Amino acid sequence: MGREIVSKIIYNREIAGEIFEIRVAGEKDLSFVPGQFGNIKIDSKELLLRRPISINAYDKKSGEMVFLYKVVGKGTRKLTEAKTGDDISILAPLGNGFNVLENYMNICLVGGGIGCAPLESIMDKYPEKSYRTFLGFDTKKSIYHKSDFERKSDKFFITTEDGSLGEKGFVTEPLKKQIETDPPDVVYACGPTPMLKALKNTIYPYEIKAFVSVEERMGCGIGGCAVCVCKTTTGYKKACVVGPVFELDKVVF
Amino acid sequence: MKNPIIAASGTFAFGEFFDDYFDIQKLGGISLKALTAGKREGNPPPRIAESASGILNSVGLQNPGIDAFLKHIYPNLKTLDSCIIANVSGSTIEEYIEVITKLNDTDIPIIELNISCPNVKCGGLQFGANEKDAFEATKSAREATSKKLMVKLTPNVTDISIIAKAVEEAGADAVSLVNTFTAMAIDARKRKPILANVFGGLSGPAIKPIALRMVNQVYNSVKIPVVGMGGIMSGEDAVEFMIAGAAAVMTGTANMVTPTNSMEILDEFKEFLENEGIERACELTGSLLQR
Repeated sequence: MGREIVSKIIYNREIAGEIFEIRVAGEKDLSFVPGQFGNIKIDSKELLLRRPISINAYDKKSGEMVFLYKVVGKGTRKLTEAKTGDDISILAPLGNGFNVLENYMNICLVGGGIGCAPLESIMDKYPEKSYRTFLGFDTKKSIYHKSDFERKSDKFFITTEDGSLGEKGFVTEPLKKQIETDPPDVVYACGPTPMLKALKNTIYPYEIKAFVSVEERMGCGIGGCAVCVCKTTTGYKKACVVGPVFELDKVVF
Repeated sequence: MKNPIIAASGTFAFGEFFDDYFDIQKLGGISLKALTAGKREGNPPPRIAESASGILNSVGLQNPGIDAFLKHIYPNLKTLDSCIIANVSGSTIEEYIEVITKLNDTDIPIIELNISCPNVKCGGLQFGANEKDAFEATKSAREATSKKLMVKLTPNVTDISIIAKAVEEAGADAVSLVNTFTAMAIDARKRKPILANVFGGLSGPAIKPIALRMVNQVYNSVKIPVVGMGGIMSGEDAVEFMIAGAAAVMTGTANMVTPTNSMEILDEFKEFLENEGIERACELTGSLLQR
């Protein structure tokens, strides 16, 4: 259940091309589900709306929260100016998150660009599970947390569209090769819509369960305004409360 | 009402999500998400765009429909110690009447007739855009219920006081204004409108000066109470609307910024009264002085 958390910024720094990492003091003992997000207030009189960013890491004991964000517009650009020691208001944790069942032991994580960020929190919460991680980026400069992902994975695959690092092309290529011979219990994914569409086509013949975290422009972030809907097979669903994680089969692209 | 601060329709769902953040019973009232006769899916996303000190929305009246509301949502609302206002929308007068007739069986004391939603392609805008249709819709609604009838006006008109007078004549007990201003947002690089619906409704601090002007004009045109809204973000904003003529106010966009904002606005409002030595909030209504 979300609440307004006003806490100090511990650091806010660029970690890859236009990708920033912000760590805040947060709040202890929150019940956090990987895949949940925070709705972050921007320090601006003009920009009213909070920006919804997935939680990359949460430490229940210290309360510290980490968000990784890409600069995509005025709000995220302004967020890069927030400094260590500043107060920041975040509504968190919001959304449903990934429902990681106990019997899901063999997991494939598929991330694209800034979408890789929430997947790391699954690995942190359930370190005992086996992860095959497939991360796709446009170019080497956009890659972040590579050694962290690699260390936490049993098998690690990285692709760049321009071939500047790892395999050239898209993340669905190495994924296909893996699941052909060794299908996972579940796939968790987050990334741009074209990637999610390609993922759906890739895993369709194998009848593998997949859950994806979608991105929609948001308003309140808590279910009050109904602007953030995602189209599903059962109608428009609020991405902030029914999502942002949906079963891939049910998402209508 | 306990106090003049009401949560505006469409920004508070049916109260259920905000209950986690503060005791919503403390507000003067809650105007529920618009109800239509049948379930409405609403517009395709994106349904929101940002503008300087404002937001544009094109939700399109997504709601479960009156029957599902009565069956699944109303039973919980009944237990609240709140002044509930049911916002009623429709594409035809028959649809308005169907919803109102079903609401007659509830304890909800006030009906807010939404003749002003700018997002729906047929119906909404048309009723509130001219005095004849505004009068007809209000008259039909008036004949369909003995509950308090408040008519929500659209500002997308040449002279809102004419519309206000028409609905007063038709039997409205009060008017609420303003709904959103029809607006547009464009992505310069993609050369596309940001909203899937192309046009949407602008709200927030950006519209406050115009909303204030309209509240003042309507206050001077009708005898029935005026509920004012349009970019209220602070207690002082609420006071300004009351000075302009509002008997009560609604907070909308503020709720989308932080869930507890309407509570804070209420606290600031009370603090203002205390600091200025104003004993009763109603003293503010229409207290605008001449220059």
